[in-house]
Amino acid sequence: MSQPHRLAEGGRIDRKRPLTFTFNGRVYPAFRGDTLASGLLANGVHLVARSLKYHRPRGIVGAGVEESNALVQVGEGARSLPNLVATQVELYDGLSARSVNVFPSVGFDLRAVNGWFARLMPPGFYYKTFMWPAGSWRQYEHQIRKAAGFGVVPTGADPDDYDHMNVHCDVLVAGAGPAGLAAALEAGRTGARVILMDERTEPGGALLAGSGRIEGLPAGRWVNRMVEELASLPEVQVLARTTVAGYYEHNFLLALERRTDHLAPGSDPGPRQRLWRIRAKQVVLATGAIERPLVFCNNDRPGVMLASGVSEYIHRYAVLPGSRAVVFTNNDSAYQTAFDLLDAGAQVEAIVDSRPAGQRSAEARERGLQVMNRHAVVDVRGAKRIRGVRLMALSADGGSVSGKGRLACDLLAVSGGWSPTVQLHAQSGARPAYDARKVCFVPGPSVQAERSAGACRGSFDLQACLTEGFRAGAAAAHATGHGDGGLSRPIPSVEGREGDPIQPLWIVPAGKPVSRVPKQFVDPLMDVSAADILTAVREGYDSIEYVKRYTNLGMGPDQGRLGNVNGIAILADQHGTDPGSIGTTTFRPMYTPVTFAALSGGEQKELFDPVRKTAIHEWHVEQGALFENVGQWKRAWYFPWPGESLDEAVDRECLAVRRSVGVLDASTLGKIDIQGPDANVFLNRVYTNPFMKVPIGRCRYGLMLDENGMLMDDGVTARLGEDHYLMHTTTGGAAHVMSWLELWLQTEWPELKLYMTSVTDHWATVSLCGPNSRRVLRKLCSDVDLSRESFPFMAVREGAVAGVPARIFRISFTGELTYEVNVNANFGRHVWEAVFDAGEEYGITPFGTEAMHVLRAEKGYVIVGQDTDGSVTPVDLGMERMLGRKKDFLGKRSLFRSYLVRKDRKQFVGLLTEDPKEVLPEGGQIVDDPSAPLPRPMLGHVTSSYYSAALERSIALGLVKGGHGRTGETVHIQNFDGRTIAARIADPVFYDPKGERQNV
Amino acid sequence: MSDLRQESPLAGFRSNTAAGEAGSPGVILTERPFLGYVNLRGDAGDATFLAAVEGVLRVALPLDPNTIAEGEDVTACWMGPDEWLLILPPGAQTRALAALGEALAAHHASAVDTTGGYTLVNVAGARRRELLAKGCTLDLHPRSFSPGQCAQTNLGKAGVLLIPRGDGSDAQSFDVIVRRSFADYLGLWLQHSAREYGGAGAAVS
Amino acid sequence: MLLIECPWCGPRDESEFAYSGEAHIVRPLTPEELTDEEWADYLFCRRNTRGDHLEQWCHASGCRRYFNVQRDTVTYRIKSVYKPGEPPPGDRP
Repeated sequence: MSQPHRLAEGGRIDRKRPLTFTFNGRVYPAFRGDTLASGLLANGVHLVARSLKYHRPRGIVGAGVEESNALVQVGEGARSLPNLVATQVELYDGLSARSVNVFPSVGFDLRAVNGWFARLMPPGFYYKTFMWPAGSWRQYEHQIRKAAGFGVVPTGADPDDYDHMNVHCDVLVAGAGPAGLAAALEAGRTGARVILMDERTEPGGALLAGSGRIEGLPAGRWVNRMVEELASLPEVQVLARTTVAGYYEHNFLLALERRTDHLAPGSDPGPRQRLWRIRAKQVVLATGAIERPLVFCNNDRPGVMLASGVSEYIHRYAVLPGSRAVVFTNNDSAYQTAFDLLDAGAQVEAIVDSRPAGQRSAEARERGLQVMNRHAVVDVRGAKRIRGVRLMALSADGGSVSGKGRLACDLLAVSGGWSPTVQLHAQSGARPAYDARKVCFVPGPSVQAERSAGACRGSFDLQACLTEGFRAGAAAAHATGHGDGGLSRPIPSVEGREGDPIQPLWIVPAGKPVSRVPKQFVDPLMDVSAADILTAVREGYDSIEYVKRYTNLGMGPDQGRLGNVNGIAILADQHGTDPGSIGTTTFRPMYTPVTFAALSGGEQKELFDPVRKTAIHEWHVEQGALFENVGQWKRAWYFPWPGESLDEAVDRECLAVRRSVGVLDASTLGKIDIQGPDANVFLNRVYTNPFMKVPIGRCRYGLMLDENGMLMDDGVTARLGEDHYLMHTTTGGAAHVMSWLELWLQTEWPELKLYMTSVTDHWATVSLCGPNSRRVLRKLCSDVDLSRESFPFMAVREGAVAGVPARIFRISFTGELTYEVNVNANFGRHVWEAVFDAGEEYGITPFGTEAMHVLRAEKGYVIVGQDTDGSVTPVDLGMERMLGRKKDFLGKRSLFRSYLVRKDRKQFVGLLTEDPKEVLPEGGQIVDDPSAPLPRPMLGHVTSSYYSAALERSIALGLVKGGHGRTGETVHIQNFDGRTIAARIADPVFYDPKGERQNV
Repeated sequence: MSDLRQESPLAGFRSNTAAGEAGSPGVILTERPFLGYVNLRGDAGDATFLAAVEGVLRVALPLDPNTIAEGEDVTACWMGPDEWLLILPPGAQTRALAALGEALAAHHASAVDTTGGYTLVNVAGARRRELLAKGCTLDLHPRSFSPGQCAQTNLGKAGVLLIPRGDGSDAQSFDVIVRRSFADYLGLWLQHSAREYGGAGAAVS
Repeated sequence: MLLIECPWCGPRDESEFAYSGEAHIVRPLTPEELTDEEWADYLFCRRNTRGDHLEQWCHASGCRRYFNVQRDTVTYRIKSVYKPGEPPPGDRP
């Protein structure tokens, strides 16, 4: 297979490794080391895309990150990625890519009719046109989005891995061109920890794209020598294919490494992409510069390329993008491209230079080239590939043109000067400044520990890049305590030549008003032309931020890398000022797109959030339990027998507890060990009820409020010794309660002597509930008298259960006789299984959180977070008796605020349906009159609702306005199926109201 | 209690040793379950408290933040300005608690058994630091973090205590101490993150 | 992502810390004697400073200590950290 535009020799491609790739369904040959763009150009393919709005044919413009036309979709199915830039897609054998935003094909795009009506589609066109009739925007939007999309989303879950890597360094160098290599090397030589990151496949930057010599060596060889020395320094890490994309506060940066995107899918076991999270003491930005296009008519046609891109294709990829070339420039750098074309065997028709004759044009003429000084390319011919250019003579001020001329060509290499890549500098919080001499924005004063070197600082000649790079590396290392800030060796010398200054040329005049000539694109990616910016100015948009949003300038995936400076300058011209007064738009992270997959890293699926498990968890799994999430915990929800439904299983589990004995894994409850002489004072302040005089060996239920007076947590606290307490918290509230208590202890009451230790994870808690629980426990525990008299309700004892030292609490959340056995969690499963063996004769039954919820609801016990929502006070719950009158406690004062003493607050009540089989919907809204006109006054809502097997009827709990005074009244609950269900307001304690069953 | 069956927090973790590369895996994960853990609180400014503790442990408590002190049968880790974690051989916590209780009876101090609340996974192998760096924002470089130090931090989304182990400044391995309920998550996290290094699954030794 | 210097553990990533609101809010000693307005002022009213802000952080994943940070809310620069009970920097009342 031939590659007609491949040069016979040269380039950094591996000719021994040929490959094929597919683009838009056609198979092409290329070599390892090619990008998709270089592979296409080697095969003579320029037309690769259609533009966003007008669907104009578009070709490859550059060779690197500056490319903004050649957006492609790479890969198939779930692995597919949209909006990649063809110049950054490395080819592997079998790679498949296609154009985005074309229908039906890039060569014949039906939507190109948009281009015929382009004059009728000014900026704001969509907003202005599709607002009528009112409300139709949604339908229009669907069609517009389809027509103006950037690629398609992958069709399935991403099968690849992604991860994060946290890294610290003394000096981070972003960019491995000449300045970056120099900085990293100089910093590395001091022994500092250095990371050098570069977005390309190998370090070298522009040195690999040119023909210069350093210290007498070809640039590429010199790069190799630098890279070898870097590799020999143990504290230097060099990462290719890694873009530093975000610069945040405190010198925190993000970089995306494309680890395996250049390999065939599945050929590497590691993550596909890695997000580097970098904390750098010092940062050296050596991010280079991007060549600017020139703004002339039809400057977006395939075959119009950036001059630097043309040179890079020749040197780096051995591809000649055209055979008859014209070079059009306003500065010196494009002359090298003309020489490169000439050397590579192309015919160079002319160098068109907007400036008067100078040193470089003389040099070109010496080489036999035609140089047309004070001329401009005003238009090009050809649509899907240029066929020639139209030329005119330019006035001395560059403001007008005259005469006419034509040249035939298939390649137009343009250079409008260079824009330093100041994005990271700006992201760090600094403001770029305009340099009128260099005609570009350069870094302003640093606000973080950051410095720029080389082209990104506006220093475009190689000698300056190297000098600044070495100095920046030495200074950055010195700032971290490495080296003396001086250079370790002399700076390598480069053959340099004096040049002529750049001449600003923002819009190439075409002899007619901008609005009357073919489109002169400023931001081809977003189809923004010079005329659009002028329109925006005419319509009163004077700030660049407004112009950006009105015209879409710089709004595309490239964030205006290519077009923004031209746009800013055109706007400045309109206002008769300089670009510095206009300023740049805000540069935000990311510099180049970062996939969501990389941002999420490995935090997906089971690693998305920790799943916390109890010591008995595996037993539940083996028994076929279903689980529910409570905070991060997995709790056994219910234990269905084969064929049993949720309702059937829960009824069975509830009845087992009420009639014999059931066992609950209560290990998830928060447990805090509290020791110290002031422990009781502390507890007395954080709980609403008195805690000064809990007898040793006894337990007390407590309510904890926030300072707003709202119920925050509840639980039982036991006094284990003179100065020793154990607090239980809710499962979900444990971590918050612990930090809340520490906050008060450390910052408000540091004089109190006590220590708190979380022991949640240490204890496994086996809760035996039901009338037979004593009989079961007695078989396993001989050293504790379990009788009612010596071990009463709300007491705690220590003893051995199944041979394991245990703390046993007689506390109950079900209303039944209950022993909560706590053991070192390493023995949790052992004790749990011993309990089941011992209880076999009583039909001992494991029960889950659903049955536990039903059992406690039968008793009217509140679950914080289910029956309360952060806006419920103890008074609302009817728990005034829990409020200590003679003491202050957190939240007490708030309970007397005017809003909280209103009588019509929502209050906690029981709800009994008229039909005992009807179970109310949880969350159902409660109203007085179901036939009242809408909007119907809402009284409150159902917070808990179940079928109670013990009571053989449904029960519910809810919050109802003024509910405490409405016992016996009927209210109506809106069901989700549209019916309303009548229910009577009742006392919330449905079962054993006197509490006799737990106190036996 | 030796006849009683203990179960490690990683009991439910399905180890995947088959995924490891033959020869030298980049990462070796080894669980050390059932060690004794005691959380000790007291006034670091009170010489009598420090002396009483040293009398029991036969090693002085570390007073510099994020350092450890190693005794014959105990590692004492600084956890806070008035807090230490004592790591003891399996079963030794019972005697240590009794002795500390006696020695500290006259002090405002607390010694709490947290043995069931933790497990320890040792991370060794050539890629140990990279593995941890995937989920830990701490600077693990030998210049910043070497044997003799310890740090409470996050690994993935679990809180952990990291202890660099070995001789010299370059830790040969790291002990990762994690709360019991997070052990399964951490096991999955380690296994997932070690995949590219040919990590051997968590083996119990 | 801030780099916060814990007064005990040294510089650590923000992800190890929990923010805990404005510093130096003192709980009134006799809440029952306060009017609703005075109590609401303690509960809800904060300085919302543009510039140097004194705030509490907790080294939640580390030593679990609360401490104070002087942070510029515009630049995010942290100017000082100090322990609870220590006086705030500068001449702030």
